[in-house]
Amino acid sequence: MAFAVRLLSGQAKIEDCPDLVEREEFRENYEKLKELLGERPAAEVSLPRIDNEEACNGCGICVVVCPANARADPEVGSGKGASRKEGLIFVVVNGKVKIMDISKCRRQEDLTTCRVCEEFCPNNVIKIG
Amino acid sequence: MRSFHNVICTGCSLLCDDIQVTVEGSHIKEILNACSKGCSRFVSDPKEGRLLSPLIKRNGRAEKASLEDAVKETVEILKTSDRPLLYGWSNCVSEAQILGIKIARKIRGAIDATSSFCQGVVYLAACEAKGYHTVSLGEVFNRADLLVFWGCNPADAHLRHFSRYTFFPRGRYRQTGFEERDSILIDVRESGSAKIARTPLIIEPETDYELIQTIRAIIKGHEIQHGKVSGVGFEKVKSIADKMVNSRFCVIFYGLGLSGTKGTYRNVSALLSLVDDINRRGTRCAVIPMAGHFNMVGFNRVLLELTGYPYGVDFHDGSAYWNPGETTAFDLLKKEEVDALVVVGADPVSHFPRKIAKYISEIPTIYIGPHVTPTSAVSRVSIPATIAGIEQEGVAYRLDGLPLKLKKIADPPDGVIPDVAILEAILKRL
Repeated sequence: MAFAVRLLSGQAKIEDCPDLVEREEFRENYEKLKELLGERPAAEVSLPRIDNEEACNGCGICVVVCPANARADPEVGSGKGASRKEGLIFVVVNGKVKIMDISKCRRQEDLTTCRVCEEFCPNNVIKIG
Repeated sequence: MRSFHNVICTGCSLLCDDIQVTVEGSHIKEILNACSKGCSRFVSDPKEGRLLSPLIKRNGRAEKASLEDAVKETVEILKTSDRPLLYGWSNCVSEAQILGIKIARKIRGAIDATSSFCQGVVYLAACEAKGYHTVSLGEVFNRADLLVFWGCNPADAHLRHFSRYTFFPRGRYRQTGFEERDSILIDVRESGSAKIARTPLIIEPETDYELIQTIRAIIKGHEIQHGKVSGVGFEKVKSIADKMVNSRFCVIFYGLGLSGTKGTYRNVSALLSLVDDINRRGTRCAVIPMAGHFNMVGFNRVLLELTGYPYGVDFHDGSAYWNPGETTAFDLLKKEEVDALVVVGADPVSHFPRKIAKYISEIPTIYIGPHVTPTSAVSRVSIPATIAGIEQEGVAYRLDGLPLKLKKIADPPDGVIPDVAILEAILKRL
C-alpha cells in the first residue's frame, strides 16, 4: 500500500519494485502500469521550510505537533521544550523556530501527506512545496 | 559560558519552566524554547533601558543619589502622608508582595495591584456565583477534551498556551493530543487564535452576558423563544451548549474580552455559574482566567492569605477593609484621595487615563523597578531593582495558581539590588 501511494504521487518509479520487473507472473501488471503512468521522472519530495521568519513568534506549535519531533523526544510531544537541539526537526531558538534536522521529516518516509506543521502554524511561517 | 536548564520565564503568567539559557558573564547568549515575548525579558544587554542609579527629584531635576538617601526620602514621604497607596506588585516576586502588605499595614495605607481592573475580578464574581471551579494546567493537557476560549487570544497574548499547556500536548489521558481534543473560540473578531480553534464563534460586541445565560438556560432544559442570540443563530448556540455538556472534561479560558467588556465582573459571575451548571450535569468543567503579568495571580493569593481579600485593601483604621470602587487604586487616584504613591512592579503612567497619569506626576511618587519608564520619569524618588527570574530568585504564581520558584541566572548591574532588600530597608526605617 505504501509503495502504491509513493508510485501515484511520483515519489517512486515502477522499476523501484523488483518483483514487478523480474517476476513473469507480474509481467501483465507491469505493462498495464507503464501504460497508465507513462514515463515520468520521480517527483522531488517537498519538505517544510521557514518561509517567513519575521512572522514567527516562537509559539512552539510546530515543535509539539510534529510527529517526528514527538517520536524523537516524547517529552517534546507532551509540550515540554526541547532539552537538546540534535535529533529534532523544529526547535525554538531565541524566540524563532529553526529547522535543525530536516532528514527526520516523515514526508521523506511513507507518510508523505503529513503537513501538520504548515497547517497549524498561526502565522503562516512554515511552507511545504 | 554557563548553561542553565529549566529556567522559568517571566514573560507572561504561563511561567514556562523549560527554558534553557546560555549566559556569558552578565550577557545572555542563547535562549532555547522561550517564545519571542519571553525572549524579550531575557535581554542581551543587561543595561539596556535600565534604571542604574537611585534618583531624587529636586527643583524639578532628577539627581543621582545614594540608596540610603533614596530610602530616607521614601520613608519621609510615607510618614508625612495621610493617604498613601502602594500599587503595582504584578511584576515582582511574592516575597516583595508580602513586604508591601506589611508596609501598607504599618503606615495605614491602601494596597492594590493591576489585577483590580484585570483578572482579579474573578474573586468578586465568585462571591456572587456559586464559587470558582478551577484546575491546574497539568490537568488541562492530561485530561481536557474540550477547550473553550472566551474573549481571549492566546495566539497573540500567551504564545505557548496552545503548545505547552492546552491544545496540542499529548497528555496522559489524551495521548494523541489535538486529535482527540475539540476547541471553541468565542470572540467579537477573528483573532489569531481563530485559526487554531475548531469552532470559532464570532458574536456581537457587548453581548457575552446574554450568550452565557442562554447557554445556561439550554443546559437546564428551558425553552428558548428567540431565533438569535448575540448575533448567532439559536441552533449554533445549542450545538455549543451540547458540546460543553457532552464533553468529558471541559475547560474554559477567559480574558479581558469577557471581563473587561460591558457587564465586567457580572459576565464572569455568569460564566462561573455556567461552569457550576455543567458540573451539576455530570460533566467535569473548570475555568481559568487568563492573567497577564507574570505574578498578578501571586499578589491575589498572597493578599487573600494575609487579609482575606484579593486586592484593593485599605488599612486606614488598622484592619483590612475591601470595597471595590472605593479602595481600589484606580478609584482612589481618580478621586484624588491619594497624597503619596509607591509603585513597585508596574507602570501606571503608561496604562491609566491621562487625567490620572497627570495626577500621579503631581503627588509625591516613589518608583521601585528595573527599567526607565514613564512612571519613573515623573517620580520624585526612583530606586533601581533587579529583574525577577533573571537577576533575582523568588516565588511567582502561574496563571492557574501554581507557585513556582524563579531562579537567578545572571548578576545585576553594579549597585542594583533586589526590590525585596529595598522594601525591607523601608520597612525597617518606618
